[in-house]
Amino acid sequence: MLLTKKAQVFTIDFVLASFILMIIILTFLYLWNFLGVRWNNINEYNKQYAIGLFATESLVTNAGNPPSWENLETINQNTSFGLVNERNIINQQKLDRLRNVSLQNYSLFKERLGATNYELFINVTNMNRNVSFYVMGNASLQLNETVAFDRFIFFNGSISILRLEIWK
Amino acid sequence: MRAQVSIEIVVILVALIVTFTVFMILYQNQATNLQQTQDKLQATDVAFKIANAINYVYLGGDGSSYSLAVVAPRINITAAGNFVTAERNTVFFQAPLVVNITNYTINNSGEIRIRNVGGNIVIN
Repeated sequence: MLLTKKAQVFTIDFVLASFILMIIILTFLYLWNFLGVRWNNINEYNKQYAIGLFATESLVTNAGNPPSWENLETINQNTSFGLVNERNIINQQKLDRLRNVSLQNYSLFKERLGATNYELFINVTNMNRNVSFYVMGNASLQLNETVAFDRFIFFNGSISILRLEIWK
Repeated sequence: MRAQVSIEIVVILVALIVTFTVFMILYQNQATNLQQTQDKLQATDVAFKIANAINYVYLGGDGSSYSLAVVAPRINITAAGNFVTAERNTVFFQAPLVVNITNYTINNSGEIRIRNVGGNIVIN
């Protein structure tokens, strides 16, 4: 009787301890995975944000390189895009040329704006956003995966908005 | 009673060995992944730090300059075309630039100076 009881106690203890250990391990693995996924999402957002910010700023704050790149016959590897001659004042010729580049060579368009591994969409609208003057790139259908940047610009005699969206 | 205790010890030992073996296998797999993740994180961090600095200097216009302390031993850093590339133990990361630059090998332990000279980026 004594022997049976001891063995019984051991088995119950062992099973209980194993069960608790399993719960602890599974909880730990779940939390580890959850934090990993969350960290990846934050990291991805930060990367997209930095790339989108620089792309937007490069378009509305500088002329590009060379400054009159819009007149080049071919856009080569040394070209950088900018849409203004003066900060935030859009040069329509540059905008036309950028749209042509986006239609003819979308990969080059992305690469020159530093967004090789992402998708880009640029939309120039009026202040009420109900009239679109220029659209280029690929628009995302999933807004929650898109990081967007709006900049006020002076375009064609009026204040407008340049919106750049970056997504993956 | 003695026989019973021996069985219990054997069962516990077997359970411990099985648990230990499973943990070791998991650990070996995860250790490799962890090392690669660590390498990638360090490469990503340093590549973005330098790429952001270059982008800021480019957007700052002609005459802009920025000095940056880089402490990334064992990471090979290069800047070429539209990318800053950081590589450690065959794991690499490329941070994009909004300007195209000529080939540079960047000092991975020390101060670097990034300058905008007439729209072109110079690093030394």
